[in-house]
Amino acid sequence: MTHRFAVDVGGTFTDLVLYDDAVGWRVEKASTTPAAPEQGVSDVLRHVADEGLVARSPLFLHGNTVALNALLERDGARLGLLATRGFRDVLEIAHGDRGAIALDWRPSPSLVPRRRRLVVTERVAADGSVLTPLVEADVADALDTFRAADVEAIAVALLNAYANPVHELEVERQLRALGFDGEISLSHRLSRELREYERTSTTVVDAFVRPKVSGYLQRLGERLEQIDFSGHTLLASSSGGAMTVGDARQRPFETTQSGPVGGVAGAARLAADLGLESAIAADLGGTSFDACLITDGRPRLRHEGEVAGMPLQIPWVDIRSIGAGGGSLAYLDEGGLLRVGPQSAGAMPGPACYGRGGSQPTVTDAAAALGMLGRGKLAGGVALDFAAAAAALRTVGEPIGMDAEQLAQGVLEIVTAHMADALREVTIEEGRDPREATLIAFGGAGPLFATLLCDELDLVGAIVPPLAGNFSAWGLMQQDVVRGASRTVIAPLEDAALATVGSALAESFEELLRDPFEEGGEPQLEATVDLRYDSQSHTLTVPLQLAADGGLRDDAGTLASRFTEEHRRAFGHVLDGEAMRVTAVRASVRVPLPPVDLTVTDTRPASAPPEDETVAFSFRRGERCAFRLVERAHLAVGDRVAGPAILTEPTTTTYLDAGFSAEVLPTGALTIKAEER
Amino acid sequence: MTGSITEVRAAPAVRSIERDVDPVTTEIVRQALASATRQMDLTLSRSACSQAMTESSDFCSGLFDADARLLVANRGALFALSMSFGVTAAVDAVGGRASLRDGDVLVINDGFLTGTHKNDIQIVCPLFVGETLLGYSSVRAHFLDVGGKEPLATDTTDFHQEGLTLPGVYLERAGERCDDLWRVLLSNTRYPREMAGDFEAVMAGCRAGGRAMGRLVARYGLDRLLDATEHILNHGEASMRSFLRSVPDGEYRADGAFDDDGIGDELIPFTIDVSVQGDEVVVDLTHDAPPEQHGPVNCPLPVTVAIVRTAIVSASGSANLINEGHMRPIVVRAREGTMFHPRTPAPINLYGWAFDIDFVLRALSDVVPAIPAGGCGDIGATMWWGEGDGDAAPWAMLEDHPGGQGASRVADGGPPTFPLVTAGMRKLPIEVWEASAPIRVESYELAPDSAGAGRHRGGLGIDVTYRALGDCRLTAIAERSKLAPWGLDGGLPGRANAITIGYPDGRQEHLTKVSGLRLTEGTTVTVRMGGGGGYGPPSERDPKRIAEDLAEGYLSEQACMRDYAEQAPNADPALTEAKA
Repeated sequence: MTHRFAVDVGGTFTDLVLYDDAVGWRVEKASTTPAAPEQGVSDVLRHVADEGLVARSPLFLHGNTVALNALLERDGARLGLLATRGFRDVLEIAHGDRGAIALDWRPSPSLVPRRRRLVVTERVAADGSVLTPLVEADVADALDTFRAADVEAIAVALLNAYANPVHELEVERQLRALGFDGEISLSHRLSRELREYERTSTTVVDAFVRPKVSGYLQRLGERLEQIDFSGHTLLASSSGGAMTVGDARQRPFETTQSGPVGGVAGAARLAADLGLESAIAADLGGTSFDACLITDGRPRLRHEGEVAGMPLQIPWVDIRSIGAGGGSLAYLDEGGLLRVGPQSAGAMPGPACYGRGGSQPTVTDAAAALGMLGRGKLAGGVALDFAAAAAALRTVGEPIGMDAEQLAQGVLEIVTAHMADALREVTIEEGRDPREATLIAFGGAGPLFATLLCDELDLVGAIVPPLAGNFSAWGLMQQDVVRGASRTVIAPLEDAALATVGSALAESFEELLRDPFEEGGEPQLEATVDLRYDSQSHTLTVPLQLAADGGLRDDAGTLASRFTEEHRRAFGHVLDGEAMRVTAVRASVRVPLPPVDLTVTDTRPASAPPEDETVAFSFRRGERCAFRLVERAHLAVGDRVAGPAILTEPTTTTYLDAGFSAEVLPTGALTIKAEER
Repeated sequence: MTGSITEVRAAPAVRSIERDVDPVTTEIVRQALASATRQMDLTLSRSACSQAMTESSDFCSGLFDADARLLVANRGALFALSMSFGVTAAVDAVGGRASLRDGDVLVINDGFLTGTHKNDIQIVCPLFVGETLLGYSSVRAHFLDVGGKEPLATDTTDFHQEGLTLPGVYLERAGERCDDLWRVLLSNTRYPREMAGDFEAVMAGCRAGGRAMGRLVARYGLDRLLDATEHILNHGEASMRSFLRSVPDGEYRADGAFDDDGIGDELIPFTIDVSVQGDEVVVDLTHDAPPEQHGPVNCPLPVTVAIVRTAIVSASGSANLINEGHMRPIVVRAREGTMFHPRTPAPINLYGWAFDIDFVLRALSDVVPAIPAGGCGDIGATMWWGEGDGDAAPWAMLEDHPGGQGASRVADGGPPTFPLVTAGMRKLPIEVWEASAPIRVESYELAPDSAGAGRHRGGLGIDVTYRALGDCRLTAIAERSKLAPWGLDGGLPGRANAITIGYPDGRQEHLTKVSGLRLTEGTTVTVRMGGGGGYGPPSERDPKRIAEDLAEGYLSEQACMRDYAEQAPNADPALTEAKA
């Protein structure tokens, strides 16, 4: 018995995917309502609510951009920040680096202006000892200033609080005793790791998005109640698992990457299902290309995230973005070289071929001109204006002696190469060979580039998922519920010192298991440890072997050899004879949800698919030729299509170049393989 | 002044291009090369040991063709634009191209050949396709210590006091480590563990670059790749010439000065002449050039050239993917025997820090609107070291500081940042400092009133105070402590840089440069990084912005009355409102 549904709120559309044993898969779309996203969620749910499909589902999985938009639009709580005396400007000084070698480079302004960044007298040392006790009067003075400035929420980030939070807790107690009833965020509750700027930034972000996120969750809950949903709501977290509404209220900053992780979760599920050791999720939309490495069915995590230049000290699905997409503009630079992106034509005017007044050529124009989009009937009744695409391409091509056809090929080759560079970087950085990875291409423009990327990267093959246009929502349904906690523990990698690791783990697990999980099976305990050579500074994360109760089963010797192996794989060398050091312990609790049967029902239509073809440019043959034109909905499990072919569906187009073939897997995914080169 | 004048130009186009220009392949290869150097950077910084490489990014990765021409570097301008000299010198030193083998690793740190001090070791790995030399993968990185009288001494009087000299020698020959040299290297540093790990990391970075070049050869074939790289250089040249054509022809001049030579206390004035004609620029440093200096502020010719190139490339706005082509329209003239073209064994440990990029920009500030007012200069660095407790190894920490940047024609100076010359550097987290060394950071804050007033004010400087928790030693370097960051177009200067030592007995000492100073427990070191200069007369500043600066605590009431008397905030009710 499985019922569940997922809603992903994107920039333009709010997508629903529902699975119900009785009716199978359902997919719906509604317009996103940016001012009140719960409206769009409610709209899309109404499509299925009347059939009782929402009311009988125990689980709702949700991805949204409420926290992200609050940060991007800098529209959040009016904050006060309390710091240790002498360190008022941690947030503004940041790392002091320049983002680019530019004469007048500047970061975006801090979320809390200096007038609302105040200090208290207190000091804790790196070893956690108290050097200067907290001066209570400073807290009262600060609160007076905050009140005069109408501060709604207070972030507290004191130096070395990761090692001993006593003063942060004392500040909170006093603020409450003095009658402050707004939200308070304490840095040590969010992160127990060193690096004051990152921890302060995390705390500020948390306090900043808190009212927006909790207001949204409140209103969303009411909407769900109106349509008789009485199950549990789970939110996608930046670390790639689902979190309960209770957890999301406690740690709202963990929902900042709630939107983009859905697609990655889906790709990870497909990769696990197909037993792919190494896969790359590649999401190409209108303005950006997002890539994430997936190894053994798990997305690659970093220990630090970033939104709009603000670091977040939390586990973060390592999604890399570059400014390349269907709307990326092609132009000639001052040195006469053809360039593509990162500037984009955006939604308005969009590509020239959309006929909304765009006159500069985009990647979509190039694809249209080459016939790769078939006859050009897109979702929402858009019919492509091929003449406008060619005219736009000519404006750029003429000065360098290229006609529209040549320029279009060049534009696609350049944008493919950009994406290939990004994919190479995410794999090579982790010591993986990109040629052994399988590409999982989705998003509106991803499937268009699947075979081009295979050739550019020499890949074994590619997967175009089912429901490629609603793939993020599909992915949300495939998550586990996850909670995580990290602690800075600095100790030599010796058996005696591992006791510290063990107790840090025990504390972390106790904290993670304190609140019961509302949904799912037996909690699985997992942990990793950050290790480095004594003389090194950066660390590598290696997994720990745990007993069922979370106790540590590794000794220093096994960890040392695991670290050495990982170091050799990542960098190609080891430092012989150099001692090793533990720097952090990361615990997580994972509760798997009952699996959804991935097999889609055989949707073979009563009649055989109509034979149809079009003419398009084949990159492999270097010339135009006949391409079979197939509606993806006409394909059944096991069907095989040989390129050259173009597979259409309402939200995306798969371009299958000559020499490739595609086969429909039981999940409904297409697997693309190069037959020959 | 009798030395001959040397005129330096970048390597010209050498290869005639066989095929028609292919702008598509060119752009793809250009981006792939940039991607390759990012992989080099990451491999290096994630596996290195010393914090100069891992936290502060004090290194640069570059890829070069067989003629040692820079194909691409992403960042680290000063290194990037002098690394081709290092490649050429290292290869010449071992007998030229014909002696190179696949798997060779060369090392060089002779500052007269590379430009920068001996701590900056350049590693050069030739890349082969079969028997053909394709080019070089190279990294120059700051190593914690290469011997010498102290780590990073500021008062040397002779090149040989500055540590071990590597004139261009094999560290690996055809893939085999040269064990003799390896032992020499590790015997000539105070921190052999860090040096060993850093070398491995740098070589891993070079290998990553080599593999990326190999993939490009496999993808495009050698001939097509070489055509593309030639186009890339020509494109860099065309971009730069297009910028220079936008600068009005003319002769421009700026006067600058160094604080001192590191030993004495006397100001060292100099003049920079910049001539723009059509699409070329000549920067002439021969006019009244200071003679070779007694202390280590001499700038070897390669770094003199690199400073000029960095300034011009930054002004052009194309500094983020630079190659040898960008440098072709830039001519540098210097006279041998002067501070800008010293002869061995003149001391060079502080090399070009003093002669910083801002002065070249200042010469052009009337005609290039994007050039901001003066910033805090390019250095306010400290190096700390001491014995470990008990069995612990000796420790060393190198920390530079961000400072105030100049206001521009359109905006106030932003938050403190590292200057252009060290654009990729980051400050160390205070919590990392305190967890790594017996040092307590007592404060690290913006310095109110440090900015130069103006229609647009400069960026604020910072005040940092450290306290030694045990006995240790300190080398500290401040420049632009006598000549404050200048304003432009009527803007006022910002605060100058300063370093103050507070001894436990209450005595205070102000200094600009000191080497190996012994600090006893409880001694404090305060680094005051200056503020940026203002742009436009202070009387034209919008009173609302003045009120905001008062409210934020960027500006005190006293400084406000001094600098903005005409717009006295109390006179305007709008101000009081904005302040609330």
